This record gives sequence, C-alpha cells and structure tokens, in this order.
Amino acid sequence: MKTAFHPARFRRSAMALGLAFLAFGFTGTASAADHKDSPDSDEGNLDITDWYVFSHGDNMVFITNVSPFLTPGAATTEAAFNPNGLYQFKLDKERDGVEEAVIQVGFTGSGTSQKVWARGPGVPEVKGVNGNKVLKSNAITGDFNTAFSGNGLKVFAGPRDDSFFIHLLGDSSVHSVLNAAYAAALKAPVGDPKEQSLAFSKSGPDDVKGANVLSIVVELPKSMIASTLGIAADGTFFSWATTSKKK
Amino acid sequence: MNMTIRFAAAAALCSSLTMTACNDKSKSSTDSMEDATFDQVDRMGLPTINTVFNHPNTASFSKTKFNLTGPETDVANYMEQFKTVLGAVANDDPAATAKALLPDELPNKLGSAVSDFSKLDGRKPEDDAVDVALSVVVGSKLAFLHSDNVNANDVPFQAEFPYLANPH
Repeated sequence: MKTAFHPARFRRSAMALGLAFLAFGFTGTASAADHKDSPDSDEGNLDITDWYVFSHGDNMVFITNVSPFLTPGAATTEAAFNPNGLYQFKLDKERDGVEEAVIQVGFTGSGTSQKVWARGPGVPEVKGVNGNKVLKSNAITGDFNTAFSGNGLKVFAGPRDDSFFIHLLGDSSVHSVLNAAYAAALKAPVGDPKEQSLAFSKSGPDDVKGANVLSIVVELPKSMIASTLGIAADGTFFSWATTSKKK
Repeated sequence: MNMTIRFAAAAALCSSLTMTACNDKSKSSTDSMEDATFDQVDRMGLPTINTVFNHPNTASFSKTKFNLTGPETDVANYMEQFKTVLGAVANDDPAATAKALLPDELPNKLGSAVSDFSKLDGRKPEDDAVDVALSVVVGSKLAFLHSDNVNANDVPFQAEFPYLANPH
C-alpha cells in the first residue's frame, strides 16, 4: 500500500529543516520529536522516535517507539524489531545521569514470528552507554504483536499508529524563505505582520498522520519501581530509553 | 479490570498451564544474548530535545554524538550549546531553561495520579509535547510560535493497555 510517507524523502526534508534551524535559530521540533535523528544507523528499528512514561492507577506505563515512518502494510521483515538490539528503559533516582535500574526487552527471530523477552526492573551489571549486559534475572517471553504478562510486568511489542503529532512547518523548499522571515521577525516588533508570516498554519496538519511505528509497552506496579530504586512510594524518578546493538 | 488483579490472574494462569508467554526459566531463547555486550545506538529522555538542540553532521551540534553519549555527560557537553540555541530563539532565561532540560531525562512523580508533560511530570501520549517544548524553548517575544496548531493525534488513543492506537 502506497502512502505519503517515504523515509528517504523525509530524511532530506528533515535535514534541510535542520540546516534552516541552525541558520536562523528556530530550532523547533520540525524533524518530529526524535524521528530520524540517528543518521549513523540505517536500522530504523533502533531509531527511537518517542518516549512516554505515565501513571495508570497503581501502575506506571513505559512506552518507547522505534522505526519512524513505517509504511502501513510494509513487508514483515521491515516491520520487526532488531534481534541484535537491546531495548532498555533506564531509571535514575537522583538525576545524575547514571541509571540505578533498568527494564530490558529483546527479540529473537524475524518478521511477525519474532519472540519477545522482557527482564527487570533490575540493577544493571554495567551502567552507562557501552558494554551493557542482559540482566541475569529470569525473562518473561511472549509473541510479537501479542500482550503477555509475568514477573509483575505486562508487555506488548508490535506495530502501532505513530502516537506523535506535529506540523512540520513546511518542506525543504521553504527553508530559505523561513530563514529570511525569521531574521526579520526577530527584529520586528511583536505583532508585526512579518512575524505572523512565520507562524504555523492554523489548521495543522499533523504531518505524521497515517504513519506507523514499532512500539514497546511495559506496565508494572509503581511499588516495584519504588522498591527497586529505593525511593518513597510517592517519590520522583527520572528515566530515558536507549537502544543498543550487540558488539 | 484493576491491573493488579489482572496480573494476579495472569500469574495463576501461568502456573497452571505453563504457557509460553509466562516465566521462561529455561532462558533458551535468550542464551546468545546473555553473553553479549551491547553499545548504545540511540537514546531519548525529554521529547524533541535532540531535534531541537543538535544538528546532524556537524561536529559541534551533532545528533549522533548526542545519541552515542549518555545523560551522565550532558551537563558538561551541552550546557553552553543549549544556552546558545535558547538565546537564538529569544528564550527569556536561557541559563535556567538549559538547567531544567539537562541532563536529558524525563521526570516522573510516582505519587501523581495523572502524569502531565506540561508540568514536567511524565509524558502521556495525549500530551501536546510539541506545544510544551515550543513554549519552554521559544521566548515570550515569539509567543506566536508556541503552538504548531496540531493539538491531538490523528486517531484516538486507547484507555487501556497497550494504550496506543492500532496500526494503520
């Protein structure tokens, strides 16, 4: 099925917008959260597009999306996670940038027959950016695109609608115009028509409408997070998602 | 259904049926992973941060460098750069904003019933991350750029697990 989303075209557009931002300072969100921000990796299934952490009753829900602009109906080999990848949710209790605990998800096999495993939350043997190891705790396992539970975790990994919504401000053809307009806007008094010419279209549109991503959703009791991190039941923690590749 | 009850029900089902989707003590499917070491490819804490502040393929504003490092070195690596970029978009207090955004981690209060990215307390799918980020980053002088005028996803989210909408 053909759609408006062509990763190569988007990459060019995002690149041009990036150049425009650097030139005129408007460094807004035009290349879509974190979509296509990992140019050294051609493996879209390790390219994180979004990271959500939110409360749901007594549980916390963690969601990371990868594979930006996945075409609906894409071949199953494309629409699968990376079997050499380690997908981690890193949890930090004092915001010093070092994780005290991780939740890990990994995959075996290819395409829609992939198996999914999940471990944690647990204390990682190797913290930080490189040399990370799989937790030694028992894994729970399940199937791609099918929710499964165990060890207090509930897990889903499979294709979803891209949950991000944004208007990208235009395509590469307008960046030089925007550049000039922005320079003018910065010097213009507030309310000047020159400023308004830069504003987002009143009607959107949502430029990631109709695109899919691959999502990993993990839900677990808040009490497990508090006890693993050693923080109060109503305490604050800090988190980020990472993708890593087997050396 | 209450999630705790659902978990308990699932656990009971596991022990009685030894389903494959349950605790896999054999670990056979992950043996090859357990001896391996993994190096980081990408990372994300606050939405839009890398896109906003870093640029592909230049040494000083490199998205790849950001992705290959961790939040542990964010303050040392990026504080001055963030202040520069914030200044360029007329941010009202670049130093304070940069400090709020670094290191790049998403804060969450376990005690909050409803997470809300606009309060820098978690992020749920329906939160308008772009508008929040624009409002935080872009100065009040350029307030007309505080919204992209897209305020909701193209399809509704689900109230229950796995929350995100079915694929197109």
